[in-house]
Amino acid sequence: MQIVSKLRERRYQVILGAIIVAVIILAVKPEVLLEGIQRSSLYAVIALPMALILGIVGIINLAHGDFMMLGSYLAYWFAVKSGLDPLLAMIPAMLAFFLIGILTFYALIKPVLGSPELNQLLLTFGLGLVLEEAANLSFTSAPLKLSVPYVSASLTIGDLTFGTFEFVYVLAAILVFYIISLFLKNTRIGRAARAVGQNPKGAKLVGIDVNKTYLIIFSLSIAIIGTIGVIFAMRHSVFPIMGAPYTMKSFCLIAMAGIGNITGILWYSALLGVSEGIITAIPGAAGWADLVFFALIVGTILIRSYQQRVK
Amino acid sequence: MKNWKIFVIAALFLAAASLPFYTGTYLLHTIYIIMMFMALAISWDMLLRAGQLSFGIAGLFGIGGYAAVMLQVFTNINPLICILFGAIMAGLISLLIGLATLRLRGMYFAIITLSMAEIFRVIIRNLPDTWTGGAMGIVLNNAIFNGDVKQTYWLVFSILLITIVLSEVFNKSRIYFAITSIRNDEIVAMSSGIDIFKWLVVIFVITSTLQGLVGAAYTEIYGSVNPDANFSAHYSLLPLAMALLGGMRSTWGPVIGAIVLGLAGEYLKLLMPYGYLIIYGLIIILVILFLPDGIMGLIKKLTQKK
Amino acid sequence: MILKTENLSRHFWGLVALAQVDMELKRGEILGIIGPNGAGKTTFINVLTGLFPPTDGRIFYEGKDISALPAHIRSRMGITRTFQISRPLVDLTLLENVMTGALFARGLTRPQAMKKASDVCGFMGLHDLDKPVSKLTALEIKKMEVARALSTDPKILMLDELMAGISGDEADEMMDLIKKIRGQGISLCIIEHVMRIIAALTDRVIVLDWGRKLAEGPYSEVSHNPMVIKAYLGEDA
Repeated sequence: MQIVSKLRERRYQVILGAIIVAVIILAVKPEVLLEGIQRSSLYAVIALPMALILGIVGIINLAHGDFMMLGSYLAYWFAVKSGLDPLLAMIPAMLAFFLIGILTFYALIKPVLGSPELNQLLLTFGLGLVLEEAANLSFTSAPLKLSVPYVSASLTIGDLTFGTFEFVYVLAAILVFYIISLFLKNTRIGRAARAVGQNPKGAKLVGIDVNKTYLIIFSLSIAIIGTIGVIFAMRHSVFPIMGAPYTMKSFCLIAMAGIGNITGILWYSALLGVSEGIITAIPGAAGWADLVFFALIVGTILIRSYQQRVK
Repeated sequence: MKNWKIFVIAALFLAAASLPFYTGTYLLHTIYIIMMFMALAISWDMLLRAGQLSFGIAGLFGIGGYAAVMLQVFTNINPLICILFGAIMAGLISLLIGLATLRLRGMYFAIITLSMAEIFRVIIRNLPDTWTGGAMGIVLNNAIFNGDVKQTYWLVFSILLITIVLSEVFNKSRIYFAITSIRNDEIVAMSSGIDIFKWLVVIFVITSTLQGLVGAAYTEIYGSVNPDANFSAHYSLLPLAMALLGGMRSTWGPVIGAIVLGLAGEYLKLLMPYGYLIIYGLIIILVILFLPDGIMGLIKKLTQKK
Repeated sequence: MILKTENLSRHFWGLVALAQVDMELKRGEILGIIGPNGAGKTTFINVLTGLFPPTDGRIFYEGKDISALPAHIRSRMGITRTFQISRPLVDLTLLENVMTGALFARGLTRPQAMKKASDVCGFMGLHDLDKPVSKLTALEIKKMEVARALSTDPKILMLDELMAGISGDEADEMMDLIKKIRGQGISLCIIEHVMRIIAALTDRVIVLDWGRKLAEGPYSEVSHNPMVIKAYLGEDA
């Protein structure tokens, strides 16, 4: 009882604080809030599939952002070769990356599932490196940009001007979040996955095919992130190391939210996205925005370890 | 038995120390570059023995370099002192980071180190140009020793020696027990009276100081720093691949790995001037999948079968 | 009285593992901790040795409140334990494993620690001290864990199901060793499921069930307590 009321208190405190901050931003520079939410959604939608792999398969995919990069290159190549809207590349991307996920799982991930965590980290790190360099060799490091007319569309309401395409990220974040939540709660495979994530040995005893579960979850995650790469390519430049910062930020979000807490990822994405927006809006300080995630994760670690000791 | 080993090591030492007397400039230059990476690889491995994976060698390398050059530019003292200063600054920064983050370990620490080089690069680019030279960096008037290759070689050799000695201390003293316990089983380590946090911070600072030392020497040798070159992921990757290939958790593993990859790298650069980094990525993957104990592990297996 | 808990509780995100446990360990006694599976016995030891901080309540060691002290400090103060599932340090040899306790809990030099570890191994009946862990039998690993704990020169030793999987002569040997350990002035807490062992070794017993203390007293009394019998639902020696 004591614990429950404490939680409630802190949660209300945090929500109150968030509302106050939002009001302040709206009063001073409203675009910051809007762009912040758009950016947050982008971070969230990238982090969610990584969280899925980490929570259920138990492995950090340091090549996560690099799979997104591949999806972006796929979109670019698709649009240029076919002349069609790159958005249509989403469907082949989903299939292609699901297959890529299966291949990657069997070739690289499955063999190290029993190895120490350090080996797994090194392996996915090496994979990311290979993907980046392969892209570098194949496409050079020159940034590529798709020109799709409607992505630079913007809306002006009074003093406020903001991009409209970026709301696709918001839509994507909400969609991916709900799809994952429903999948985990309402499907047989999803529930099996949750069981495996919590207790692989126990799940095996109950008859769940743990390896098949790992395979499906991993491939699903790669399929999602590859598809997100398609959307990303429509608005951003594509170059070999574009994915790396997102890998780092995604992991920081997952670390802050706690493994298994996908709702937390949404909240922390909002924190990160809006904070970066605030810093960027301060004149002269825009260059420091890239440090925000680092400050947040170090701060989180400090607060958590302090809490542990005080308890 | 023991005497035989000491003799070999002494012979190697003498050979290495006297190298400048009978080796050409280009080869000497190549060798001391390899030695720098060897020192980085060994220091990386030293932290690994405590169970912590760092992707941030480049961060400490760059900090050491910047601190050394900045002191040099502002005070013009003896470059050797600047190098020492660079090492100490790297140590201090790692102390702060270690104190802040080493209570959560394993993958959390690894990801923090992954971001480190990038973070430092951003900070240095954003600091006033008069301090750090901004995006263009700083160029010194002169390289250390006026560019004399022999003395440069001995400088790098000394740094490598210090690293090797420390690495062996880590393997033979009570430090070995502490780091192996922490790596094998933190709960047992705790129950045996080991203050894990304190040990890890100390080891992180020591290895970071070494990496800063190499970075500082590097900038004094080349006479310049800039954010992109000195924080390049190259300096995190190569030592890692070297230690991995040669065999983790030993002094001689990274040494072997450095020699193999260093020489192969020279050859590779001739074949594939661009994108040869992919080879390192492949090496990392292949070693983890098929040879996780590296070359040293292979040698051990082969000699045991007899 | 060497160890005492007052109102000791430990929650894990809503799951109550320990609830308001009061316990006293007298100097030189062997206290048994028994209870059905999941009763919180191992959690109790984990909290006592400092692996987890208590959610509520306090722990007193020789009169001092140690509730907030981390595990490594408690180990240096003289509280030590073994583990239900053996946890050998796989990259060290048998002797090196045992030495870690002496090196870090007692701060001995390496030669001193080696001597101490050899002595303790001799006491436990361990030989071939340079064998790597991979070549040890299950019994040797168990003995090694006890030796590792003993090399810290503890005042309190907590054994978590040491006798699990041991029977016959080996069990008798272990029980003898436990008695000898007590004979050296060390107070013991032992978790066991086999009641014959509890009956033979312990001076007193506390019974945990669902994290609460059900009963305490000499085994002969406690084993007749109807609540205790009900908790076990027919489990007997």
